[in-house]
Amino acid sequence: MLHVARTTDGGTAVSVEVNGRGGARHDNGCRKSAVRKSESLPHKSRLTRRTLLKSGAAAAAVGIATAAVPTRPTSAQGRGNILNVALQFYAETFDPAIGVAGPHYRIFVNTYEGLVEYQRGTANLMPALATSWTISPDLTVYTFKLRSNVKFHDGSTLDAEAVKRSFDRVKKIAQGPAIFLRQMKEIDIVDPMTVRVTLLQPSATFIYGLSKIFVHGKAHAADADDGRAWFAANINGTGPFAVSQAEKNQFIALRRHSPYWKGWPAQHVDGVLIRIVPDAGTQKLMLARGEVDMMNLYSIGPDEPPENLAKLPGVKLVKSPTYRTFFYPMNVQKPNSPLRDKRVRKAFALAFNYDALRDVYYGNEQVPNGFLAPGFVGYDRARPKVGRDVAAARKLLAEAGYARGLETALDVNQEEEQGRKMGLIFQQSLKEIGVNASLLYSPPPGVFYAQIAKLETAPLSGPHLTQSPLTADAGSYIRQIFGSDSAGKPYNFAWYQNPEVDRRLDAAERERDPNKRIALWRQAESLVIDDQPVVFLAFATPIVEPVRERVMNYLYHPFDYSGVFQFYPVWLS
Amino acid sequence: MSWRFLIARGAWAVIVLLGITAMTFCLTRLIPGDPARAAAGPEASAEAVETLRKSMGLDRPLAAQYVSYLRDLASFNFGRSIQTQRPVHEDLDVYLPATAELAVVVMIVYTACSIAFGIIAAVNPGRPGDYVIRALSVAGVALPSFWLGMLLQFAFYRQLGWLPATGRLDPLVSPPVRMTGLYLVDGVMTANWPAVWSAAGHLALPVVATVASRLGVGVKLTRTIMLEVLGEDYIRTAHSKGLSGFLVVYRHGLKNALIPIITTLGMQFSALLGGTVIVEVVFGWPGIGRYAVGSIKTLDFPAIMSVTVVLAVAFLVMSVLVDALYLWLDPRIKYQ
Repeated sequence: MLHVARTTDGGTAVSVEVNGRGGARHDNGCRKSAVRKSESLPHKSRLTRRTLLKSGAAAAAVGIATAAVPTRPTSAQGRGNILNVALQFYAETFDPAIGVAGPHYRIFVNTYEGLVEYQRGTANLMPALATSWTISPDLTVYTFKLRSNVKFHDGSTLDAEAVKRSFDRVKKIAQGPAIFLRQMKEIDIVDPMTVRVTLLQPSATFIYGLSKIFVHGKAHAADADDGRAWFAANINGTGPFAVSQAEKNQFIALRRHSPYWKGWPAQHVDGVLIRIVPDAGTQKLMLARGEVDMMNLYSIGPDEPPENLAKLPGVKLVKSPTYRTFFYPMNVQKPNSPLRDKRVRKAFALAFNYDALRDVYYGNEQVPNGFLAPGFVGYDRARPKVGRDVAAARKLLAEAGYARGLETALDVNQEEEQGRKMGLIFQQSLKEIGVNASLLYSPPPGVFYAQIAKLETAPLSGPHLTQSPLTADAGSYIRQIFGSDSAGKPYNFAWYQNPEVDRRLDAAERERDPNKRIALWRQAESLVIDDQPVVFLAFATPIVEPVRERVMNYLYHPFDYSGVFQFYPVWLS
Repeated sequence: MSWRFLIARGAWAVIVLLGITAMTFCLTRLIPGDPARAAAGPEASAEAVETLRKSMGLDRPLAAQYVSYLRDLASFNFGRSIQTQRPVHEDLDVYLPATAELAVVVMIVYTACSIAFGIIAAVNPGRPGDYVIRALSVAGVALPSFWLGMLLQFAFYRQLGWLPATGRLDPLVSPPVRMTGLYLVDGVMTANWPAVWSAAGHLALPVVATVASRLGVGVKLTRTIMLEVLGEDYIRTAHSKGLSGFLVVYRHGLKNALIPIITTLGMQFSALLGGTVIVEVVFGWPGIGRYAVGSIKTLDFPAIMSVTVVLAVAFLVMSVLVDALYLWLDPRIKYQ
């Protein structure tokens, strides 16, 4: 059993208990197979084929002095203190001012850090590279005191100039991560260990996004190309792991950053070997054989019940709470579409067979009651859950003038297992209220984003989204999916625009009192629920991930994308 | 005479290449997508997208974009990838040798197996050996390569543990010093035997999966042509003047049968260089097929164009080479 206590920033404590086999086995999963004889040896003195190879021939240099150990492989079949991981994509750039997708964060969360971070498994904001901060009464000036004696991977020391250069670079390059600094006007150095950020307009929530602005060393940040070439291929953060070797589309070897400021108690791993394995079946075979300890394709799109994987010898399941919401957008503005009528959208939601989603998340889902998920800031447990009512759905359709049914199309993303199955369930559900829906497959993202940006080319509905907040700022999260400015952009696929929602979100951003802020967010959420621009399908929580039994203390962080692993807390039994 | 022919073929290839670049250029610009939007990332503001569009030159007229593209290409500048912000040639440097290595090994095994099995089937027509070879090679074609790949992984990796399931080299083996980019060749040249051994092990399953899915074509082709050739008068003459069966089949039969076989195999090799995406995904092979698919999904124009051009060049070079082989195989052939 795993008890996770979280507090919202208002201080209300919510306790969530995750029961089940995964949680239980997580704590006592120490069964060992016979081949792992070396594991009874003291931690540091284990000399196994892998550690030897690692430290010598491989130049992967995972924290053991290379000169001290022979480099010839031995026949011992141990796996040392190296965590082996299979990820499906190589991060095509290592630049923290550019990358904002899963493949980037999978590396960043282990190598870079921001001024603030979130407590493990929760939405609690914690100091990280900044030890403290003050916010001016008018909410426009944030002053951060920096942590002393923090070293970058290149050996340089964290100071105000490094922070300024990192922030300025994100702002100047103006790609993905710049969204988290959109309120920033400028950043100044007050003294070598203090920075001051001035905002364009008052914001009480600016600080929440700073966990995603990664601070890098000064070197190369002022190169002629703003360091684009260097940062694309190199990492110089303050995080627990540094890249020791990387081969495109093959592997990334991480070694301990020994001066890491949180320290290295005995139990942490010496290094992580990330193999790029694009196929889910191959990842599973490698997990089954113990060649990898963790795989991420199952986390991203489970294609069979987790119990099947738990049957593999040496594999256990880890359950972690998430704030993921699974929903299906319906375009509310598309000309001549029946979905412009709120009654039709409500009928679709009432027709949906929520119970059938068991086939998508294998029981690890909850019937939703809105957008903000349990455990996340602003979740309102008093709100009634959605449910199926075919008769009411038929009645609403008749009121809207579609008593004899209608024809529509459901766009689904065929590359995502959840979406494909959800599409079939939705199609079947709609048939019962006389709606004939054809399934259309969405084009690849590059083409799709251009299509959805214009009402003429945007799909009638879909594709599905499994969204999760990236920070504890529920306002930005709601705004990205239901804000007027986001219409036609990721991820307001519904083209939903309601000035009343925007007004609540703006007010919340300028609200100092966390409880009043939450009240405003809930009001915005209520307006959205009433307008029904999306069908809320499920709270996709908890996430269940298969790992080898020797993997201890792993927990998915709810602000990460699916399939992002934080390696620092993990140790091997 | 024949040299003049090859030069003419070369000139023709350049014209074809120009046509291909023009077509792919237009096609990529016709796709209803916005590369600036894709490059800026989902969260970027409209201004950021506009700035990026300008810096990528996407706001200029199409013709001007094409001319500057050709100029860059002439100096082997493939442009900067939208996704990685790195020059595309850096990516090609990594992915092309990986695909080439797989393709070359596949071709060697494929050619050897096709010819050997084809001949055995042809000299024993209607006997059990013929039936077994034909049945097996057809079965290989009938099995989808991804399915066969998974079966091979299950047997040789999961159950037996003899071969690795994925990748090009064990990450714990230091890769050979780069000379050609082909691990086997570089490994042998630098006497890095652990790398050669590991690379060979990693090649085994993808090679078998790829060869098996194509073998039917090669075997049936060889068998049919050999049967035809072995029925010719000069073969009977060779037999009657007392030559051994081996010499008749190999010196008189095979050499005459090779021309159509080589044409087919040559074209198959070009196709292999295009990357076998499915095999690359199943076996985690860091090849150009996966790179191309990834680039298409994100509308990474410079990368898509570069892959197309590189493959077109490979295809054209192969067809010129095949023509040259004809001259060598059959001196009677004259090109006008």
